[in-house]
Formats: sequence, structure tokens, C-alpha cells
Amino acid sequence: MNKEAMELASEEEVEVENLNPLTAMQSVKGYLTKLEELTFMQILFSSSATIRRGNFGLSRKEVERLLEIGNDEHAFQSFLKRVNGAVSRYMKVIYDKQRNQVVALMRVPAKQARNVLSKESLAILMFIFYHQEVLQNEYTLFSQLIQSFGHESLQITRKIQANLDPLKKIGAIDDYDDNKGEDAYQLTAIGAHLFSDSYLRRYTEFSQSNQLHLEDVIRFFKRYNLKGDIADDPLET
Amino acid sequence: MEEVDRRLISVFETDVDQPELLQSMRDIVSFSGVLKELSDKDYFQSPHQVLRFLRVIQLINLEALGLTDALEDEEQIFYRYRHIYEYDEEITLGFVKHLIYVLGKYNWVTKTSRRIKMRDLGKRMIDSLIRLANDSLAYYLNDEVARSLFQAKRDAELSEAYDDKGISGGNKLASMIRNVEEATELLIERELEYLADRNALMQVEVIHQLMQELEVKMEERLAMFETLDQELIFSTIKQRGITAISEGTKISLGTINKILKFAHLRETDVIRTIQPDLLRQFIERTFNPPVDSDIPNAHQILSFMEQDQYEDEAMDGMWVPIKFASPISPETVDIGIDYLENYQPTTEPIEVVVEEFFPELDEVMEDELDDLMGEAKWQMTKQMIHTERLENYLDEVEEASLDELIVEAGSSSWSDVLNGLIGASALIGNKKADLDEKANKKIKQDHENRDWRWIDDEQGGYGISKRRRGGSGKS
Repeated sequence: MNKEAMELASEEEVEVENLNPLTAMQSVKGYLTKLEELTFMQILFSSSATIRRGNFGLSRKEVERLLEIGNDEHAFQSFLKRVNGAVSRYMKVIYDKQRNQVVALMRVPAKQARNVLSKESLAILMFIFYHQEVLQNEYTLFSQLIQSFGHESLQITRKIQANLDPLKKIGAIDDYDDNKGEDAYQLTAIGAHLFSDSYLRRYTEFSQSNQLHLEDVIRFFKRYNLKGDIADDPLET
Repeated sequence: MEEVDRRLISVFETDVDQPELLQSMRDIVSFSGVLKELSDKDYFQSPHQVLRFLRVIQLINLEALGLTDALEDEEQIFYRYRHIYEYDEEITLGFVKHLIYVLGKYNWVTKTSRRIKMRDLGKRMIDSLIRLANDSLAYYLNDEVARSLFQAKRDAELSEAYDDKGISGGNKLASMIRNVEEATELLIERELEYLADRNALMQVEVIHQLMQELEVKMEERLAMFETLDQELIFSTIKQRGITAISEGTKISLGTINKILKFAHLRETDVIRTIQPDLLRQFIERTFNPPVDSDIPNAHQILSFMEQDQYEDEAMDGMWVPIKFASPISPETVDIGIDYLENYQPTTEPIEVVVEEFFPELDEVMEDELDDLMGEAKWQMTKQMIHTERLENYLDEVEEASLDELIVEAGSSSWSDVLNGLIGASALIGNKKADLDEKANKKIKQDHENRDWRWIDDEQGGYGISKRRRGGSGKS
């Protein structure tokens, strides 16, 4: 897909001027050693703007305006595909249909990733992720979180609330109105993309006490359809 | 513990005027005299020089202990040095002579014509010096966490060596516990690093072993001190010590467990089925796993990924939403720089130049000119003379006699007729209507209502008709 996207990109370069600096980033790979590459990514990460709630991403309309395309599904998807083709090693651009937001996600290497969220936040997000992506629940109730993590420490209600907050700020989960007056949360596209494939694999390996194939892990977390169509998965009908 | 409440010998608790105390203080002055030699700039910048110094003293010391033959003069020291240690061109006879002079000055050695001999003071001092150097060496041979632990262990040993013999080693116990606390703090900080390092197991095992040794040592020391009457200070110190050491042991053990678990994982078969219930349990446990368990928390898993055992694993940590500020084009930057560099504030009053307003001109063809002029005139006329009713009437009937028009559009009264006539003449004059003098139309003879007459009835019979071409009078 990568190569194809590159070709597409050069064909339409004139049309989408913004693409130029992004395609240039791809060549970075050829110039740097792996260590230098890691460093570069860390610089990018530390230089990015502070993340504030609701202050990331653009609406699809805004993107279309910038691209000077109308409500053209094909042109929009093609743009996403090409951008992702060019910078996939460092960033990806996802479109969250539900929230109507186009968000750029940056790849944070393992060493820096633990500065993003606390270990408790990550555990909570992993639970919600599993609960909604694998078990296909529409939302996760606060009481379910309490039930799962409650026996681990004191002051659990406050602790979970405090660790849910950064998840909301980063846009990984959203409040969900279940019409029953209970606190509920729904995973957003950001939340669904936050864990890298490698992380999911290591995490699952620890849980199973066995090594695993990456493809099996991806299939387990129903990630295959994030990258393309469901048809990509040979076992799915 | 025969003597339970004996006092420890300590310089801080001895009478100031006691001659022994003064003598011991003088010893230290002598020590510092030699140290002063060592604190020269040359020595500070060249640690090798200090080592040479120690080696020479050691040679004299060995003789004093009866391990080597007697030393006659500086030359003998010089050659013995070259024999025992490697050849060193920096060592010269002059250097050795200078050293012996300094040592003699501070009463460490006595030099007679036949013999160089170490004095008692020198023996004790050199012991202190060599112990100091060896302690440092042992300290620096350890890694950061282990250093504090080594220091703690050393404190315990010193406490053992001195306190038990009735000589105070200073607050060795407190020092020991402080060192353990520091080591534990460092260990917590460094744990993720150890996990990220493929070869850290050995290191952590060393630390863990030290922790365990220290735990035993500390219990021993604490037991000894319970007999001394320092209980108030002691109980808090004891509490701190126990907390620090148990935490440190737990963490080092947990780190080892996690590393082993990770290493073990790598040797297992690759399986294809994932059991959801195991995953769920694991998620629940990673929230806040006990420190000494083999369950890594969410951050520790990331540390393992730093080892980069699977390809690109270290790069693939997480995907985080970001927002960069939109890029600025080079032109904009240039403009900005130019503005900053060449900006001059305006000091003169601002003159406002009012631009004259020229309305857009419509082009008019020559043959339309007449009509347009007429129209303009007509509009002006209409401002003064009311012709609407006449026009409306004409619109209805197309053609009428002058008499009929004036009376119907106005009334039969004199003033209206006069207005009507003016209006009619305006219409004709502006080519809105045509006058036909020969029409000779009939005049209505309702004289009883009129207070006026045509001079000649014929005039009332003139025909008036609306002009077809050109703009209508309506507006």
C-alpha cells in the first residue's frame, strides 16, 4: 500500500500542496540510523502542542475546505490514504466519523510512551478497549470499572475518576448517555488506535504466559478492519 | 552484653581539657599536614601522583611491619618501588626525597643517617589513609543503587567493629538506614531502566543479594542497639530502617521476577488461541500489581518493549493525538523579517487624502441621447407638475379630447382645470403625448357645473393621444 500511495502522491502533488513536506518525511528513513530515527521521533513528540480536551483534530468539513474539495468522499479518502502512506512510520491520520473529527496521531516510542498516561489510566483504557472492541459492548459503565479494579486499592472511586480524566482529556474516551442516569463511557477512534500493535502483543503475551503471533493478536482485538476492509481478514466472512 | 550501660568512647563526650583528647587532636593536625601536601593543585589534577604517594608510604609501612628488609635511605625506597610496582618515569629520587622530608616534618617517620623508620603515629595514619582509599575504590566499583547499599553495609560493619568494642563510630546506624532508604528510592527510579535493559538481571540480582545481606545485618545491629539508652531516637530510626529495607527487598525481588517471567516467555511456544478470561484477569491485575509479583504494570510492559526483541517494537509504543501549529510559508517569514528589520514608526501626523468619487459611467449611443435627455427633463418636470392622473387616464383610454381629459382626470372646478392644462402642456412638451388640433372632438356641455369656458370651444375639441414610443410617464 505504501508504494502505491507514494505514486498516487506524486501524481497529485500539484493538487494538494500540503502533501509536500509530508512526503519529504518518508525520506528521513533513508538518511538516519535507527537510533537517530528514534531520537527524531522523540523530538517531534516533545515539540508537539499541549493536548487539551477537544482541542485536537479538525472537522471533516474543515479538512475539505483546506483541500478545496467539496463533499467528495473519494477525494477525502484518497487524501487520508496518501498522507498515511507517506508518514505511516511516524504518524497516522484517522477520521472519527462519530465525532466528525480528523485527528493526527503521533507514534510515541516505548521509552516516552509512559509519560503520556499513568499506568492506572492505561489499565483502565485497556479494559474499556477490550470491553468494547473485543466484546463489542456499546459502552462501559463506571460501576463495571469499580467492580473490576475495586479490590486492588483504597479510595478506588476517586482513583478511577482521577485516572479517567486524562483519558477524556486526550480524547480516548467520551461520556456516553445511557439514559439510566449512570456514568458510562464510550471508546472513541483515538482510544481505539492508542495502543500500538506491538504493545497489544506484549500485553497479551504476558496475560497468556505464551508467545503469540502478531496477526493473531490483531485479529483478537478486531483491528484488521481499521487498516482496510473487513475483506482483508481471511478468516472473517 | 556484660556491661549494659557503658559509655562509648567518643571525642564529643570527653572532657575538653583531658590531655589524651588534645593529643588525638594533634594527631589529626599532623594528618592534615600530610594531606595538605596532597591537596596541591598538581596532585588534585593528577590522581596518579596520589597513588605514587600512597605506594611510597606503603613501602615504609611494610618495613615497619617487619614484612621487608630495613630501609637505609631514599635511594633504597626508590629502587624497591621500581621493583615492586611497574617502571614509572615520573618516580624520581627527588620525588621520594621530598616525600620523606614531608613525612619527617609531620613526625610520621624518623630519618637517621642509617635508617628510615616509621613511627607509631605514621602507622595509624597510613592505616586511615589506605582504608579511605580502599573504601572509595570499593564504593566506585559498584553501580549507583549498589553504591548506597555498599555504603549501608559498610556502615553496619563499622558499627560492628567499633560500637561493640566501646568506641563510637558516630551515628553509623542512622547512616546505614539513610543509605538503605536512598538505595530503595534509586531502585524505584531505576526499575524501568533495568527492565528495558536486556542484561540487567545480573545487576539486579547483585542488588537483591545486598538487600538480603543487609536485612540480616540490620536486624543484628538493631538488636545490639536495643540495649543502649537511646530509645526515643532509636524507635523512629528502627521504623524507617525496617520500612526501607522491606520495600527495597520487595522491589528488587519483583524486578527479578518480572525479568525472569519475561525471559521465560521468550522460551515458550507460540500459541494461536488467546483466552479472553486470562486477558481480563491480567488487565485487572495490571492496574496496581503488588511490587514483588511477576506481573508488570502498564509502564513496565513498555520498558520490556524498549529491549526491541521483536522488530521495531521499541518504536511502536503508542499513538497519541497531537496538533501542530499550521506551517508558515517562507514568503510570509520573509515579509515578517522585513517588517521587523525595516519598520519605522510614523512620527508625522497622518494626512488623510480623500479620494474623489467618480461614479461609473454608462455608455450611451447617440440615437438614444435624445430620449434619455428627455427622460431626465421629464423626471424634473414631474417633480413640479403633477401629471400622474392625466397619464393614468390616458393609459386607460388611449385617446381623448382635451376637455374630456382635463375634466375627467381632475374635476370641473377652475383650479383643477388650470392644473390639468399645465399638466397636459407638460406631457406634450416632453413628448409623452401628442396633440391633434384638427381632431375637433365633441365637448361635453355640462355648463351648469363649470365656472369657466373655453375661449373657443374648438380648443376643447383638440385630441390628445398617448405616445407609443419612448418611456411611459409612469414612475
